[in-house]
Amino acid sequence: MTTSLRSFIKSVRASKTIADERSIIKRESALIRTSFKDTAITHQVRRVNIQKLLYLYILGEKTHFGQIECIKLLASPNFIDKRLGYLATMLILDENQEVLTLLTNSLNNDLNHPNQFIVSLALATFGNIASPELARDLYTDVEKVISCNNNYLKKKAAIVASKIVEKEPDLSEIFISQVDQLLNSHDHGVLIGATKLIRSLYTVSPEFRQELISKIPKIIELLKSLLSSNLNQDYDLVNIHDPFLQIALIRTLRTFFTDDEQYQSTSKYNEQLNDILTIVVSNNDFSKNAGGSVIHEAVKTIFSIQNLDPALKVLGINTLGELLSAKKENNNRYIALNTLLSVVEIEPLAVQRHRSTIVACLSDLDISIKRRALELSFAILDNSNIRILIKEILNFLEDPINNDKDLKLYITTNIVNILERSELIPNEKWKFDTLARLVKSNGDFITQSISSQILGLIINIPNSDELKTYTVNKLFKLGYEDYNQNGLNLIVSWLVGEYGDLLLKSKLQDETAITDDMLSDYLISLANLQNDNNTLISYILTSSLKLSGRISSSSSKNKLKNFIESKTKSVDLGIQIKAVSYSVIFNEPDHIKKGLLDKMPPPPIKVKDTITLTNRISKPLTTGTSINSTHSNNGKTSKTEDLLLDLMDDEPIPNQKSSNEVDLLNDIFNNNGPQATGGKSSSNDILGLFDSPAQLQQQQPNKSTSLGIEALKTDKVKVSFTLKQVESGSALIETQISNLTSSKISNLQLLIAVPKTQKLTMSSISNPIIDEFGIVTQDLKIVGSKSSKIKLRVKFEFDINGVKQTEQFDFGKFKETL
Amino acid sequence: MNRQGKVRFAKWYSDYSVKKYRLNVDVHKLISSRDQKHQSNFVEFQNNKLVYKRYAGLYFIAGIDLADNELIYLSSIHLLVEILDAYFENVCELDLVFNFHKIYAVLDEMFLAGEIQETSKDLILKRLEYIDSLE
Repeated sequence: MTTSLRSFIKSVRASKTIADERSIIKRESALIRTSFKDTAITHQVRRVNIQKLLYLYILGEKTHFGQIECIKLLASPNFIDKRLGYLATMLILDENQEVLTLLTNSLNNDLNHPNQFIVSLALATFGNIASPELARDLYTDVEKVISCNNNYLKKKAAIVASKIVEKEPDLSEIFISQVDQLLNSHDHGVLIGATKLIRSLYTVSPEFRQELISKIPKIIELLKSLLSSNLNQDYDLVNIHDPFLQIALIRTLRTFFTDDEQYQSTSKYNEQLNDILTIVVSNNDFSKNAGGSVIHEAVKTIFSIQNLDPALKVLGINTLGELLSAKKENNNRYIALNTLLSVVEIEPLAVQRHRSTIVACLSDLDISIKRRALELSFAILDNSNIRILIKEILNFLEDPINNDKDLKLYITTNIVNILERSELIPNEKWKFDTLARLVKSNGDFITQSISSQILGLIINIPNSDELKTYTVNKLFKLGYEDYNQNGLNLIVSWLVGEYGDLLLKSKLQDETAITDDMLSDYLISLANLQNDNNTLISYILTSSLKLSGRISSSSSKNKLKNFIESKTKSVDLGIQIKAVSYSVIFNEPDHIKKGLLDKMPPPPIKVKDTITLTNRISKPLTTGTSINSTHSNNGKTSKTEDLLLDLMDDEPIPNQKSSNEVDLLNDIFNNNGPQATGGKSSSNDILGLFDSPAQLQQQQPNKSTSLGIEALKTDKVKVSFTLKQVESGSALIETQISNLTSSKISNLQLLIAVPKTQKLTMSSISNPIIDEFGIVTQDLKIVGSKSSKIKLRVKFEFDINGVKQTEQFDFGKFKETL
Repeated sequence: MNRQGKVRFAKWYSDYSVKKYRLNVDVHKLISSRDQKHQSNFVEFQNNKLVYKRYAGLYFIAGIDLADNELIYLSSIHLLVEILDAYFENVCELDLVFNFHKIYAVLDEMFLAGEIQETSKDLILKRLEYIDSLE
């Protein structure tokens, strides 16, 4: 009936097809289940069953049906049963299972068992699947073990104790008293366990921090004696004093010294720490992994602690530089770059000295090293090295082996962001030359948001400036020669529409003058080539209309007109709407057109947050998500841009133009329209088809007020309301209160009244204290008779710098009714 | 885990109840595609870092925190392999396939709840020998 484990493994391995394998596994799994039901089976059979169950577990099969059986097995008095039972329990159960309660009794017995190996099994299991309940039930047993004289159990108990306090911080008190005797041990395993326990205690229970800090001299002492003792054959790897213990000790020290709140009490040990770290760094060498790991740990510690001896920091940076350049050792490079990245904010100048090494790492084959080097290059960039660094980065970008899409996107975004920061730019011409080079080599990776930024830069050149003509001409030449890069096409098609007149004054590469025909033909042939790219077609439509106002040749005008009219039959709704509106405008008399087709006012340039490429410890974002988030942002912006492109058809009434246009412009260039989601904009399009344009206009401003309608603004606070949801007879409103000062606002209280016919329910405020420049929110729900207006009387009180303030105001700006 | 992505042994030290299988597949895809000679032994994976080393056809992979020390985990992987080698006397993949339950015992002597607890090779081997003699 039951076969041995060995034959089961063999038959699984021997199966030729996946289907075979599945059927064998299914059959075996069924057999095990039936066998579990049989109460008369021997321990021998039970063991085989569990072993097979574990094999199933490794194969990734379901094993939950065996949980009870594991617990039964470990309750047996035989060591062999216990061993397997605990092993299986550790693997198959986790801390969330209800059956854990069944385990309590067995664990309790075994923790007090005379056989140390059984105790060890119980400890291991407990450590792996400790739940808060188990921690509470069993801590006394662990406490007993931790104070015994058996090092083998002591070290395990110490780690288990650290798990216990992590799960149940209230128990810290029990174990804090054990720290001293653990640290007095000479056994490396026990010491490692002790450091772990100290770190856990330190993290979970602030009330014991002082006491733990007083152990610093002891820990430093341990580290010192470890380094100066003779090598211990048992523990040392390749002539290095037990690196595991060294690291555990250093890490523990770091935990203490990086806690700013305890700075007062730790700073008196700074000097000792300085000394010991210097010894550590000089005592190890990084030709071997183990030594390198210790140095790395020490260097990390050096940089995470403020107020250390500057000489030590220099030593740290130099060590990293050595690591970087020493030899073709990728592991070390990776680590050095990583650490430099975290250091660059504190010691930018010191890191800059290693610029050439960092740039050399750009050509490394390892993608993660490349990424780090790249990010570091951007981090050390300032006005002294911007030319050379950007040049290096562009070289990197143009190298055909670097075709990682994410990287290219990252570089492009970052360079454009840098170009927007005028304080870094050596001169304007350089800025636009760089821009042109970027667009040329990397046009495919310019997303819509980046192209908006680039266009923003160009619009911001003063109209009279030669540079504008120069840049527009330069980009046009690039686009005229290369129709295949999407980003380039977008930019150039827009420029042709907006600055057609400037182009007409300039020349091509071969000195031929640019003519009306050339521009209109460019747009039309681009549209024909990229017929299925709707965004580009939208750009081109707008451009065509604008260009028609800038050129004189009537044949070219006719071509543009025909082109626009051809798109009135487009299958794409957005384009169709646009084309229809444009062809109407096209036929308007010139003086009306002139107002519509005038040049755009320069948009303000918004400072962007730098995006990161790699995971940093401070921001545990995966690379994937950070890049995804840029993507999703782009997605949103593109919708906003569609709105801008729609601008023209919404505005048959010129006198409303100015205010709206600027708003929408801000939207496009700042990408700050988080509310303009796809759903909304498409519904807009549909509305546009059936309703009057006036309605569209009404809807659009709502979108740009995504931050709510401002109700009150004083020099200290701003209050605004956002209508989150209106249903017949009820409305959900979010109140946002922002602190405009650099001091904390506390005891915030909001009292709101509504007309008697309505009823108000308020949720609790998200936080009664507003941090400096922070925001808190509070939700309101109003219920009342249908189509009544929302009116609020608001009174609110708060303390600022200890002074009580009161504000009162009425609010009724919502257009919507209940 | 071997080169074909078959898991030989795995132990989860924190709660990953969801999609362990999926994780395995992803990890394998990521690591097997990396160049052994020219790339480092570290790679980021979701919110963790993987430290791995290939011994013949087997990958030994440890998932660690972003803030952890990569090199020391690399050393501990090496230590584990040395211990396995001594324990099985010239270990090969098949030893691991058929004795997977014993490997867990080795792991448990070396790590507890994800923390390294014993770093002396001889000591661990002696313990294992003794425990086996109890059976």
